[in-house]
Amino acid sequence: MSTVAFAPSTERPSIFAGVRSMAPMMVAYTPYALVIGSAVARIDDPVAGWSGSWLIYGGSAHLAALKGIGDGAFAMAIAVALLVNARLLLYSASIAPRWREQPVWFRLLGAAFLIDPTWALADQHAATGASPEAQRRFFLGAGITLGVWWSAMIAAGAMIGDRLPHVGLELVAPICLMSLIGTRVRDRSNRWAAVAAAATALLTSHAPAGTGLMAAIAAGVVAAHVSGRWSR
Amino acid sequence: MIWAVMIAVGVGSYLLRVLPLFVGGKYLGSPRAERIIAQAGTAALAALIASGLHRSASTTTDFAPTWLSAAAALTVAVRGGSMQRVLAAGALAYAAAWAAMALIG
Repeated sequence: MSTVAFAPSTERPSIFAGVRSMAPMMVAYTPYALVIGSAVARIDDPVAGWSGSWLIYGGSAHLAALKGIGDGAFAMAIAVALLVNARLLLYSASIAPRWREQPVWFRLLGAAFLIDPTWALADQHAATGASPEAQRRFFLGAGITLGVWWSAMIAAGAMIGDRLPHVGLELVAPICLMSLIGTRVRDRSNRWAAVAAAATALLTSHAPAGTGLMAAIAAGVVAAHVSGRWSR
Repeated sequence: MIWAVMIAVGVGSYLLRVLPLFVGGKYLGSPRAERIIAQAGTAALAALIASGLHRSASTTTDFAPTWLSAAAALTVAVRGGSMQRVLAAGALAYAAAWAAMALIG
C-alpha cells in the first residue's frame, strides 16, 4: 500500500526513515521556497518576513501574508493567510486518532510541523502499523528536516532576491504530492473526492486566495458522500 | 507591523494545527467523522495538485509538457510507485514532450 520506501520498523532508524522520505520533498519545495524568499526581500523588514518560514510554516499562507503586507492591508493579510491555512484543521483532525497515544509534548511540538507533505507522509507511515514511538521518531525526522531546509531556502531566496531566474520547476511539488495521493484514489469515494476537488480548484483558480481551496475541499467531500450513496 | 502580522498568522496557524489534537477527540472520533476528514484530506491534496499544475501550465509552451508529465506521474502513483519513481516518470514525460515539440516545430 505504501508509496514511500520506509525503513524496517526498528525504533532508531525511524528518524532516518523520516529524513530519507522527506528528501525528494526538499528538492520539490526548493523552487517554491526561493520564490517566497524573493517576496521576503521586497518588504521593508526582511527578517520579520523570513520569520514566517517558522511561524507560519506554510508556503501559500506565507506568500498571501507577504502580499497583504506589500499592499499595506495588514488585517486582510492576516485574514487571507489564515483562510489559506484553514486546511491545517483537517490535517490535524485527520492525524488526531493516530496521535491519540502520543505524549502531550509531542503533540504540542509535532503540531508546529504539520503541513501538506509531513501530514501525508505521517499518515502513510502510520498506516504501515508502526508503533507510536516509531511514528514519533519518523515524524520528527521528516518535520524537522523539512522545516530547517524550508527556512534555509527562504533565506537563500531572500538573499538572491529579484535575481532569481525562472527555473520552471514549479511542476515538481504537485508531482511529489501526487505520489502521496496515488494509492488513496484506488478507493472509490476518495477517487470522487479527488476528482471533484481538482476540478473545482481549476474552476476557481481566479477566486480570492484560500476561498477556491475551501470550495474544492467542500466539493470533494460532497462528491465522496454522493458516490458512497450510489454504491449502496 | 510586519512582525505583528507574522506573529498573528503564526499563532492562528498553530491553533488550527494543535486544537483538533486535544479537543477534537469527542467530536471527531466516530468512524463517520474520521471517514469525512480523510476524504477532505484527499480533496485538499488533490486541489493543491491541480492548482500547482495549473500554475505550471500557465504558458502556452508549458501546457502540453505539464499535463503529459502529470498524466505519466499519476499513472505510476496510482500503481503504488515510490516518490522517486513518480518523479522520474513525470520528468521523463516532461522531457519527451519538450523534445517532441522541438522536433515538430
